[in-house]
Amino acid sequence: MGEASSSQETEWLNQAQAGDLRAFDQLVLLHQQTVFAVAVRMLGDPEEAKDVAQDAFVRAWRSLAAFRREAKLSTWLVSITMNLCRNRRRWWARRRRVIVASLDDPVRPDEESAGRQAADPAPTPDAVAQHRERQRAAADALQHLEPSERSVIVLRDIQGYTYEEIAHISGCRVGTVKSRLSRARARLHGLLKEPR
Amino acid sequence: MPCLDYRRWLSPYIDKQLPPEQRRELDAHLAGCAGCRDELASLQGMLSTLQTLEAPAAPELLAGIHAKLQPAPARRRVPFLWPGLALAAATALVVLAVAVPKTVQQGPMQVASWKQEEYAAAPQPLEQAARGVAERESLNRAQGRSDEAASTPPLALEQPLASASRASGFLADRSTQEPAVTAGAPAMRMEADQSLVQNAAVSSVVEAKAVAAPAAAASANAQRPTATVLQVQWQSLDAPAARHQVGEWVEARHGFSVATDERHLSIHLPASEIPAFLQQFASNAAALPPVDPGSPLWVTVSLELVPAP
Repeated sequence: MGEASSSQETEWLNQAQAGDLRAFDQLVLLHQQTVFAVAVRMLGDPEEAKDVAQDAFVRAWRSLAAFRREAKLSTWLVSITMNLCRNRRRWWARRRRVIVASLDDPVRPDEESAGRQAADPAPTPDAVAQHRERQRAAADALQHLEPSERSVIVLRDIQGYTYEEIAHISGCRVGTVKSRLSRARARLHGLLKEPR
Repeated sequence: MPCLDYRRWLSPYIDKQLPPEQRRELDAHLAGCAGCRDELASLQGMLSTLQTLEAPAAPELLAGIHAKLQPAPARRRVPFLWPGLALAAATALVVLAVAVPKTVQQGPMQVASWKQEEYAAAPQPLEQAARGVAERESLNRAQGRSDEAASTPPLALEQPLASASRASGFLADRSTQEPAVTAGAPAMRMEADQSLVQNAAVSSVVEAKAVAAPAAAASANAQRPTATVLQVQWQSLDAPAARHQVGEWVEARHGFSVATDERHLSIHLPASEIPAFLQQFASNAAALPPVDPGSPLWVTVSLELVPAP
């Protein structure tokens, strides 16, 4: 979540549910990075991810009256996004689109990750290059997983959601999340160990 | 136990999701197995890398969102100034309609129940999909809300239900046999004509329920649309294909669908598209009460795919 406090978010949500589009815009600004990050990791294509992220907010706006706050707004938005990503990839599959296997620019460290790197005890240029290479390979391999496997990795290992939140987003049981995640990690691990 | 089996535990072990007994067993194994220790370290390394993956910064989204929120019909209009082209296009469509076999199976999809909830919050499609067909929970919640706001009068419900009854000749009003769902709120349960049930591919009960809203939810929400939920069962030998078929149809009409498991689909459609949806898919469409066109903007269709016999 962004900089706004929880109470501020609640106020915007109240106003948006009463039909105030400007308040909804604030919610978009608050959650757009999360929604876009999920979309870009699921689809591997920033342009497609932008389109899906916009669609997710459009659909959220249209069904905002239905949002009963049983989950966090961000969780609900991610849930919509994941479903749109899944539909988008099916659409690609039907049209035999070659799914882009890696991002042109998979790693664009923001200030936070730059800060983390700065905090490391003087990483050598070689170490930085190796880390970048591992990130590129991981982002690449992620696109080779089955959608259900990719989604649990994205939600758990990249976005940091709990098992319970992932179960809510995915509409399945916690036990399913656990087994699916275990399988997905093993597959990804195997892909990364394969000689390239 | 072989190492391969222990390695299946590594993922929940890392997330501290392994039951204590298995955790102790794995700890003991790791203490004596260098191969599994290496595997664990390698897996942890991979997860650390994933955690440092950063997505590109989100681009500007608001302008596109606002553009997409604009009404779309203009894009579909046939250009009036080009009657020749319009005629040619119409002719081509007719030819296509004749030449291409209809791919949509009109098969035994049955609307199993119809519900209209007259309170401010429409059912949330994603949550509802996750709950499957457990619609009664939402009724219970609505009841709770109604209790909280018992001092406020319920919204008028007669019109939608009355029109529903009129339009569905086979429906028998059994409201007197049913307890009210909420205090002061009419509840109506209608059961399908026995002959129709026998003929239906899926034996189903058709029910229409209404839940009065606490007007409190109210003061700000009195003009809010009601929520309409259609519960639909569809027999299919090929559930993924059926989901696909419906999903594609819905997407083309600015709706969206959410598959929560292999056999359940939550569909969110503009109310104006519901008649076309029913005509396209449901075999008992003619027998259904109409969706009140005045109130709900969006209708949730909860679709359950049942195996064909």
